[in-house]
Amino acid sequence: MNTALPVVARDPIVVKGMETTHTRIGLCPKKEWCSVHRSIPAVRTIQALDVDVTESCNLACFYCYKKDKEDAHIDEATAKNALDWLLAASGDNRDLMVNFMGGEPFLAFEVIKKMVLYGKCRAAQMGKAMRFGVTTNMTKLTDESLEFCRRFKMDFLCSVDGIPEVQNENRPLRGGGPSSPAVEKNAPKILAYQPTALARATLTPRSARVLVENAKYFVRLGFRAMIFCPAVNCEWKPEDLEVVRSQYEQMGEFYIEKLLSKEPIRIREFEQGIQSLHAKTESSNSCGAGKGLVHVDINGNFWPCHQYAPRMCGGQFLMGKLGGPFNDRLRDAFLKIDPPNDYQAGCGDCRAQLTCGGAWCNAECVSLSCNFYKPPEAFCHLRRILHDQVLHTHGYLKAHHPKILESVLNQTQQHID
Amino acid sequence: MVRLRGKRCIVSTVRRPFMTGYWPDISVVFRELGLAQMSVSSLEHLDVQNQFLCALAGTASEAAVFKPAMIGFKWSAADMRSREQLRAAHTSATFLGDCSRQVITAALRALAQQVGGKNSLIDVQFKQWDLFGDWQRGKESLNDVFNSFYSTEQRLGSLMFFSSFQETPEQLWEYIYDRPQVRIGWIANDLATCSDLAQLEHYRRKNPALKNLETQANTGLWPHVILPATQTNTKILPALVAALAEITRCGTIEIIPARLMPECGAGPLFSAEEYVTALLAIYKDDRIPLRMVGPQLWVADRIDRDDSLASSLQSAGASIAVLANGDMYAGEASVGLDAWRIGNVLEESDALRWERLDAIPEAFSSSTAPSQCRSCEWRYRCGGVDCSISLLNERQSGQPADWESLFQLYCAPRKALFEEALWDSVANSVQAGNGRARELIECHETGINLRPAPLPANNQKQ
Repeated sequence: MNTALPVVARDPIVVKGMETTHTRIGLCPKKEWCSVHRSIPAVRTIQALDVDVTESCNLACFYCYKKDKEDAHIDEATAKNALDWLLAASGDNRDLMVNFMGGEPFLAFEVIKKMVLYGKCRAAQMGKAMRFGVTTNMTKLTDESLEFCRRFKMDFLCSVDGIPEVQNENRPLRGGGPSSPAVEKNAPKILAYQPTALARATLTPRSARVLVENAKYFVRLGFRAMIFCPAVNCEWKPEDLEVVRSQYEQMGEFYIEKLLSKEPIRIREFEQGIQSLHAKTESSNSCGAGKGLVHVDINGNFWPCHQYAPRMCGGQFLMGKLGGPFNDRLRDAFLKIDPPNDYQAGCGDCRAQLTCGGAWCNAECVSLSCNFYKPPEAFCHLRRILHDQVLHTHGYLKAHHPKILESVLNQTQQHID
Repeated sequence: MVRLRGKRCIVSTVRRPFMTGYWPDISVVFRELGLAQMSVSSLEHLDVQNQFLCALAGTASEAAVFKPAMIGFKWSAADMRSREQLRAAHTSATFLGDCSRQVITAALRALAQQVGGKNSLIDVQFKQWDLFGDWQRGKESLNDVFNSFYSTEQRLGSLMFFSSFQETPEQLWEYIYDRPQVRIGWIANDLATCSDLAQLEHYRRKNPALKNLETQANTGLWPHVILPATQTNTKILPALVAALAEITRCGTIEIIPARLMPECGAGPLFSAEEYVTALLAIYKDDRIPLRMVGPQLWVADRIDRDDSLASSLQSAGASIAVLANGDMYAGEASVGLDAWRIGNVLEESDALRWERLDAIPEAFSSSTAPSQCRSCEWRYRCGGVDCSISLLNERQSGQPADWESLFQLYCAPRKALFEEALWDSVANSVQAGNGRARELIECHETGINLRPAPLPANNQKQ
């Protein structure tokens, strides 16, 4: 290994009320990193930390939940403190995951480098393993950053919406212009290093009509795993939902076709649904937000996940701040979420219960219906459409290709494990 | 016996006649007095203890939430057995001085053959030799240690060496990253004479060791610091520890009275009372992570254990010390004492007197040796006084009056910390018991509320 690790003086963390303590013990008040231990939660079961390394982004996606972004990066001291916090807040957990988010994380690549080296080295000495991942739009990737990611085995979650027409419409460059050329240039590089990298597409009413085309496009780019997440903060008209139904039917056929080929693909929402159907157990809310996962923003604030932006509910989902106390009562409420009781009370006799499991994303529930436990109506419609297709796909595989079904189930189980 | 201290209630002994049935009103008393916390430090049987705690708290319905410390059950047979088990699972070798490759490999091979079973851990330490002084050769010695484990059934636990940190190699993080077993320590002798905060500030700005330590910690090194406590620095011990925690980005800090460290020589004795006060202040300082400071760490590791423990690897006869000339002793504290010399690994490899190592646990059986330990309610959590203290006393014979002071420096802080830790353990359990009810998140445009969740229908009667 020959990557130079620059030695940088740590900047102060401004913590309200700490000045008095510094004065009392006579320490230089430039910083007090170990105050991060004031923020350690009572229940030390955090395993994953999402870190906003920057607010800055070179794209201007129309559905972005961060409308008022600033061109600011996390400072190195806060970043390292966040890793120290995770090492302590994880208790006896030995496998830790840190995911870089943004903005576009690669705009703050220098911070990422320092965090990865520091976190890996420190965790190793403490007998823990710290893995790193990055959620990226792929447009700012360089050979240097890719080589760094390869060397430290970083995982990629690639945000991309689909064919150039959709990508450029939904995710244009910030100053205007298409983003798809950069995506097409960099995606193969990522996939050459990590063939299992996941393409994450946001499904909007605008892009619904080419859902299958998008999936085929991802396969042409080299992706073998993908997920289509509906943007529920868009207006879904009945005709849009019909388009989605038709597209999911074709998607099911495409999925089966690829499963039977020599180069099978993974469509995450199909896999999860099939797993639930096969096990005949209701899909539980698998979101770890506020439980094993915590998000830290560039200012060192803790949130249950990246979606709980400061503006949501007057910022009252703030779980704490590095150096300040942690909101254990709020965390306790997250830890004790009881999906069957809390989510499915309003599900009645909905046919999709087995594959849906109720509210999928609490943050979206809050932002759209102001009810932590109840998803917006559009979400329910989309889940029922997906359920119907998953049911059909599962039935077909079970009847005609049981071995293929078994391999799908095994893959899903591995992913869950 | 129940003792009240502020808003806390200390129950120090509960025996059979005082089972729950005989204490019907204690929970009322507890609430009436508005007690916030309670400590139960000695109970005869676990079930009695559980029942008693439940009655006393009145707030928690499950005994399990308390996880009470179990104290005072086992006696020497089990005690000795646990030491044998410990030795079979975990041993340590300390190399003192600039040891050659032959000495290192011969000593580790001999140790692996003699003690420790399959998959047992061996911790290796280098002391009195700054590997950073000649880092190239230092790395070779570390490699010798790694290589020694390729063909054995034992595993390398940690590999620690101590440096003065006057100079540090570049790209040290790379070396550490590839070999996570390696820990690097610093003995903070410079801070032993630090008497006030101004001096501490001066050290922080001027001392090259502290600067290098900070630089390396900032690049990912997780150092271990041994801080000798002296009469001079005890007054500012909490500030020293806070400063070190910051400089090392929360490396581990082990506080040892300088008088109990053979390498520090026989410094002046100081009052155990003052030392205890300082340690308790550190324990209660929320800026200092509990599990990263010793002897707090030592106590925290033991408070919830229910097996009988030895006070250290050396007391269990599971530690050897090897000098540069190949002389091997039954632990670091016994170096120089002929009675505990096992032999020379280079010259007498076939005639090493391992029985001397075997004799350590019995000779210093903590629960039987010092009279103070026999009646101590913490004897099974503590494991008794460490044999290094007794050996130190033996080495410094001619000053018998020192024994009590040495003993107190070792014992008093542990007792005090055990009591504090138990307080916290019980208080946390009571708090957790109260917080078991669920709360639902209610969202509004302007904020959120947490409101108690209704009990599920089938639990309504509870």
